[in-house]
Amino acid sequence: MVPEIAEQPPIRGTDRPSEPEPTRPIPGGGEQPSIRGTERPSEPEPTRSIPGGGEQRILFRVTAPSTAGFDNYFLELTRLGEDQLIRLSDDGSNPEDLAFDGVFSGAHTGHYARYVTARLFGHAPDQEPTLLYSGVERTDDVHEVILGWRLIRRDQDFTAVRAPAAYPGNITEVHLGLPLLVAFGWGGFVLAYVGFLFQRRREP
Amino acid sequence: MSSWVRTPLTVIFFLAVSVGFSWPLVTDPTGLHISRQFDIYSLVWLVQAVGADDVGWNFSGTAWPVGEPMNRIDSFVLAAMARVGGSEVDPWVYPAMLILLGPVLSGWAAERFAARHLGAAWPWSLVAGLAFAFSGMATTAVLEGHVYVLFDPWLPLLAGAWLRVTGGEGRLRDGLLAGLWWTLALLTSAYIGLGATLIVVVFGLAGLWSRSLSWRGAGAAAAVAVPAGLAYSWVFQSAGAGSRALSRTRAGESIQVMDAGAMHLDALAGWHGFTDFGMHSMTGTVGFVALSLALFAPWMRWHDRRLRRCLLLGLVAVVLALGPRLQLHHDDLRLFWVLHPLGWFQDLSSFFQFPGRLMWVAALALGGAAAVAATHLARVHGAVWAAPLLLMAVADVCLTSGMPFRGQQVHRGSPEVYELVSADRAVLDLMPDFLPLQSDLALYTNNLGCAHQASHRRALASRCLGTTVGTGPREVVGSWLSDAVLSEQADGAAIVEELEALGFGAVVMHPDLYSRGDRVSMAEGLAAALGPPAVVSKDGGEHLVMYAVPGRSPVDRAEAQKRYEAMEAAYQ
Repeated sequence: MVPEIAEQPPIRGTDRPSEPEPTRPIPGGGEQPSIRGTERPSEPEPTRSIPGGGEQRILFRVTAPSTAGFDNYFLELTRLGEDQLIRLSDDGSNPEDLAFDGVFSGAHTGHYARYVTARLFGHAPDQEPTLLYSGVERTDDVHEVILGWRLIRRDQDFTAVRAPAAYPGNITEVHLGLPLLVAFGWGGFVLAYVGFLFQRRREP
Repeated sequence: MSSWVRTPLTVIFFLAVSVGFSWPLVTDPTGLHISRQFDIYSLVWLVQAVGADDVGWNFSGTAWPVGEPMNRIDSFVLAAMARVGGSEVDPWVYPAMLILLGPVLSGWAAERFAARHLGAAWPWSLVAGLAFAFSGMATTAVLEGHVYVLFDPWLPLLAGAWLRVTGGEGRLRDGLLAGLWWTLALLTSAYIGLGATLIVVVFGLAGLWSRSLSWRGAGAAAAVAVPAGLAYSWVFQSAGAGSRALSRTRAGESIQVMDAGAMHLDALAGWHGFTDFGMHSMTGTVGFVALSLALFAPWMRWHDRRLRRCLLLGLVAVVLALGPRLQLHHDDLRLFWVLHPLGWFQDLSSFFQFPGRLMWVAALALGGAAAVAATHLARVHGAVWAAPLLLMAVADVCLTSGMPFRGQQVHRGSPEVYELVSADRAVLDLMPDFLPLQSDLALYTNNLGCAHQASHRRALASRCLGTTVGTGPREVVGSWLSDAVLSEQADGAAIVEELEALGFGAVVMHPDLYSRGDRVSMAEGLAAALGPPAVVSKDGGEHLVMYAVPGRSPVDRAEAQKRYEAMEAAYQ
């Protein structure tokens, strides 16, 4: 079921407001009661809830050609059991976003999650949103998670594939090979220096 | 320089490089890890399993109720360390110490190999240690998580002792030591053992060719290594399949599998955005300083027989590490290469999935040769001209391997929900089937759950050794349970009775891994069969929903095994 975008509040960079969960602290140490090993009580126990911890920001980025025909993109995100809708924008409103460069971005901040479920939709005018990608993504870095997608043409339609994301300042894919280019440059320099020393030995 | 001064300086130097290489691990060694893939979780599980008081060749704590055969653990050296530490030592201490201290010892051993056996002078011999202990393969080990290979002084020690035996200078003692170092290399990791065998073969053939092999020394080495190798083979073959199951569920012959684990030419130069994208983090760099110096070394010291043999070893190792097909980037070239004939031995060669790891040998050999060349240049031009080479070698560690920037910072925290289950009952982790494109998620989630056992110590249905996570009790019982609760005629009482007889105290569902529709269906089915969730937890970075299974009687493992075998026979 595709959500209706117009009915969703704009969510970018913040948690969707949600009802606070009832929290019951877990007794510490070895004294906490075990759930099992005993007969199930006649009255069902209320569900105990253990909250998430720590805050973590996840950045999203979609590289899309203009020929894809979508006006905007949004993500359905399931993070620690809560469904979120995240609009991606390319109007420069995000600090790391260069306006109208074909790279749509967004962010979500919440409790630390080791993985999230993501579904990426593209929205064309007067059409139902198109599902471009769905999958479970690892987000286990404490400080920085960037999830990137790239739209590719498959037959007549477009689909999205996960793609490694460079840092926000480096938003073209050339930069994916930057470490390798640096390594080659460095290697050439080292080789030249060793060659220089080797050649110098031969001088009278 | 006196060894009393040189040795501490060497250790401090490598320690400083190691701290930088693995930054910020040193700031919180047991609170976080820096790996990107998922072997680190298996390693932590292994340490706690071997350290457990009741461990044997079959560990009952995982793959419940049949237990996990321990015959095919990769590192018996790590297992021995864990056994000595016992259950008192936090299992997360081991990977942290191996990452921080392993390269120091390995680098020191490589430095001594270059100095004692190849004639390099300190400090230029440090180039050998940097090339070996902080090579691309070390980066791969850290990022993939099989960090026990970082503690590897055995290859340099073997190379030194065997070089003497095959060079005609070896005594009986050198032969015995060579046999011992080969054995320890094999027990550190099967791939390190293969690398050690390559050293034995290349130096041995060179010794035979030049008739410099000491038969007495070789006999002594064989007297130690052959029984150890036979015992290892017996342990390996006494349990487990005769061919390696693919971790990806795709059709393919062993050549294709070996292809993925081979070194590609671009990985010899550096890394790029796709290197760490999924499953592996293969980097084969040895550093451009070591490579450049080794390239010029033959023209500097061609008369040096040991140097020539070292270069030959490095060349052979690089050629073999490139695997069955020569590739520049991904699978672009597909040119026939030297290991291609191994494809004829499908089952046997299926165990040789990572020829790229022979780059450990290349790093040792080329690093040693580079140290000799650096020494030569320093003697010809003076230390002032050669000193930049040492600085460049340090910079090489960062620029070609990408460390420490490629590492992650990941919490080691474990969800508390498992600790709420009775200690005498097992836990069934319920996860969806992962399709081949996300098979790395299957391994990651499985191994992560295994590592949590270090905290909660409850028995798990998951298989934690190897990559066959799509088989075993978690898969069989989980599939049965999923089918049972989604059935239109779901019999809650029968489901509970079966789970109880199998010895399970709780079912822990991972809802965020399911598609939205299946998540709801599964939750409703489980609630109908097992009652409402006992606990919903979001700590430790995971959303888990635990359903309790009533347990009236003590667990009878033999009965549980019998029930499981019947279920497996009916279900698979």
